[in-house]
Amino acid sequence: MADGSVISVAPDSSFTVASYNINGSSRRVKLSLAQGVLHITSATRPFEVSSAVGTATASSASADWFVESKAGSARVAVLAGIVDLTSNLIGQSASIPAHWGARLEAGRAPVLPRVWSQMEFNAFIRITQ
Amino acid sequence: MKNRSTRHRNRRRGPPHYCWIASVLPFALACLIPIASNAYTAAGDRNFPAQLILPQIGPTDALWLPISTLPMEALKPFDPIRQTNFGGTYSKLITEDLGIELEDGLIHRDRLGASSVTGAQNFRATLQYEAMLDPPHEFLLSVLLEHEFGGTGDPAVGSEKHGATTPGVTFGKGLGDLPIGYWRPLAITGFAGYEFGEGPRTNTFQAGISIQYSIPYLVSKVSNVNMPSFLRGMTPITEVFFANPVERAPGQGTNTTLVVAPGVSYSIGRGWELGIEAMIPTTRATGHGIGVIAQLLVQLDYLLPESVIGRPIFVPTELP
Repeated sequence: MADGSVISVAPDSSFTVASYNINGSSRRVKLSLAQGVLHITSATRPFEVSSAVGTATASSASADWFVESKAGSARVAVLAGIVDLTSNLIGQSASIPAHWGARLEAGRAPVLPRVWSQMEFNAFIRITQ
Repeated sequence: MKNRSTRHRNRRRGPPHYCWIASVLPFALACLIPIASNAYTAAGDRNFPAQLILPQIGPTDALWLPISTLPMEALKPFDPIRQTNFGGTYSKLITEDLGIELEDGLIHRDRLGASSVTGAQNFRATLQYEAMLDPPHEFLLSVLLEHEFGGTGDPAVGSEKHGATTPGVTFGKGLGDLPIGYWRPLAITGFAGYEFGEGPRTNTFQAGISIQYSIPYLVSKVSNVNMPSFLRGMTPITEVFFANPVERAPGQGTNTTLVVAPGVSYSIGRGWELGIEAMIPTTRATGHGIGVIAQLLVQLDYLLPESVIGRPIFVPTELP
């Protein structure tokens, strides 16, 4: 992307660019992920990806992360930086640091983040290469 | 592990064994007081909170700072009437599955008819390996080997001259995979170990179990129940710890110690966790009076995720 962000898309994924503003002081990128997995190396803050159940927002200046949207749930896993995962319905969020991940189910609070194994990250890396 | 404290201190009075066991029984509960704490860990979407009495169920990168106080039954001058422990445990992952724990602390004893005394506990190190992890069934099992280095603490506060080695096993099982509705936030953890004492120290069998109900799990996996925000991070937990010296003093009844520790853990997933429990002795041999233990857990892997402090020393290869 023009701001330096890179998005890798897994097969059978579907997303749209809801807004893209990288000019001036109000830089903001917002994607809408209907289904599938995105691998994002974001260079803009905030960089948001919304799904049916919640919104993932990269809150660090740069971040390397994955977001998955499936029917009724979403997952976020972070390789570098910090990403917040917020429930659309109740507004509760989880802050996910590097090497951690979290799940969000429809209408509920985010699951407490946990450390992800390299094997789990590799599964996401593999499908987004 | 925490419970090690128990075992070790059981023998602090030194040989001969039986006299030692008999004299130390009143202090057994103090031994149960963990100087080391235990960690949190996860299996799938189940986060097991740090335990205060039982050993951690899996290795991790974390720091625990427990403090506990316990009234004791003083039978004669110089016997402790209250023991307070200040502990610190640093846990470091070597690989994703293998970790080492280093534990030390201070013991403060108020004594009957004498001035109080403060000294170091024995240094302890534990290797722990997570042998089984089944995320869909929220189950994990670890094996551990702990060693207490005898003579590294202060004998004036009961630190043993002789060391001990304890192989053990820990497990955690969440019930979230079962079709049981609002019972799904329940989880059970357990521990069993056998302490081999050096020199005159007797061997001790130890075991424990905890039952916990995770409100964070309830609101994230079962139903978004409407409740005050501070309750959403609570996990009511009850730990039970049991220790039984293999050798018994002649003429003595059972030397079994059993402590029940109901309490609560609080975490909102921001890199720290706070726990507090009462320590209730349930047998005469276990102790005298109700104690309290509190613990702060600092999750180094959350707060320093991109440093060597917060990551395993050796990590598997990342796909290019």
